[in-house]
Amino acid sequence: MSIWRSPKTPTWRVSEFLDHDEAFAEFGRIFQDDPSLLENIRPEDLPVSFRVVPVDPELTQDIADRNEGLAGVDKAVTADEQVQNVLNATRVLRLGIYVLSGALLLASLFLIVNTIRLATFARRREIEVMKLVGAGNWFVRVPFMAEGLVQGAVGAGIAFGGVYLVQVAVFGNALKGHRNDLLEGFYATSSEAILIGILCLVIGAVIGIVGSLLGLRKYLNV
Amino acid sequence: MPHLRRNIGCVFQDYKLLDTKTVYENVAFALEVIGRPKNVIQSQVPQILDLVGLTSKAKNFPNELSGGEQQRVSIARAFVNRPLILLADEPTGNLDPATTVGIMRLLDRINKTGTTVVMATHDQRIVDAMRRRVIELDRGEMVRDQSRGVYGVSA
Repeated sequence: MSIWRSPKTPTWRVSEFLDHDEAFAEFGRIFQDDPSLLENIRPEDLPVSFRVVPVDPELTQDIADRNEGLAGVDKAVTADEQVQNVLNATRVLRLGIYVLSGALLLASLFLIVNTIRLATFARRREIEVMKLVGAGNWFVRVPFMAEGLVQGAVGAGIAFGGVYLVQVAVFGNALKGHRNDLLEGFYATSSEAILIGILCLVIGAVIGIVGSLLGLRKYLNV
Repeated sequence: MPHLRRNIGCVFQDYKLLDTKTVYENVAFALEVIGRPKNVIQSQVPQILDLVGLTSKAKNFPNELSGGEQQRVSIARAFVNRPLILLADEPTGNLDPATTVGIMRLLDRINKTGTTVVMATHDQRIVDAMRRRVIELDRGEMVRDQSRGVYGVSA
């Protein structure tokens, strides 16, 4: 029996193959409350089946269609509605997370600007003297930029560390052994994770520096 | 602009010292901020403190000093870079007469080293005592410029 396979890259993989006996066993499991059904069925009556998992859920229908007409294939069945629901849900979730992240980023920027303004206000005497004595603008700015940078980077580090801990707690312990394809998107390889971690730190530092520069603007004219 | 400020020393009526720094550190600040190296700072600051007569108070904080002494620190800070001009805005405004005399003598000493001292004041007595070039301002306009002048209130 041949099954259509994508020539170049695997778009799906076979997750299960049930022969007559295994199909019969599963049939028994599903309808265990109704033994009368079992009496009239023999293993040979149940078709052999391949359970197939697509690499990308979007391709589900496409794969089903291609396999439908092949020799030896009676029917290609998709859990179409469920797949669509999951796809929609993940799309909405992804969008929501983007919006939430954007809002949080803006909030942290605002917080850093405010903190730096407070710090500047607290040290205005020193800054005044610095400027009187002839300090350049950057000389005054640098300590505040450093403070902003630290705040931003530490914040990002804590956030990333928190997510990592959640990942270990949830996916490491609670869901151990339950890894299935539905949750596949939540997993990241360690190299990906490190990259994301560095990106977080960089974004945090940038927000910190930008925030401190914005916070200083009002005070640099003496 | 900051570079221009480095050639001008400023002294104010309220001294504008940094309370968290010692006398030595306050004066050194003027050099640090410009980026002078440590060895320059270490040689110049004691010299200046000697000029203003505060060597013994180098490690004190501004709140431990009298008004006159604090003003001397300000003058030291303003002068440590040997600026071309020293601007003084009512430097003796918060000081008693005896201390005032001391400050004026110090400014005179500084002037003798070649720095131009421009002072704004309402104190008639010291203007009359010094008899230097007097520029009188009335409502923002210059109404008198006299080379050996007294205070005088023009009608």
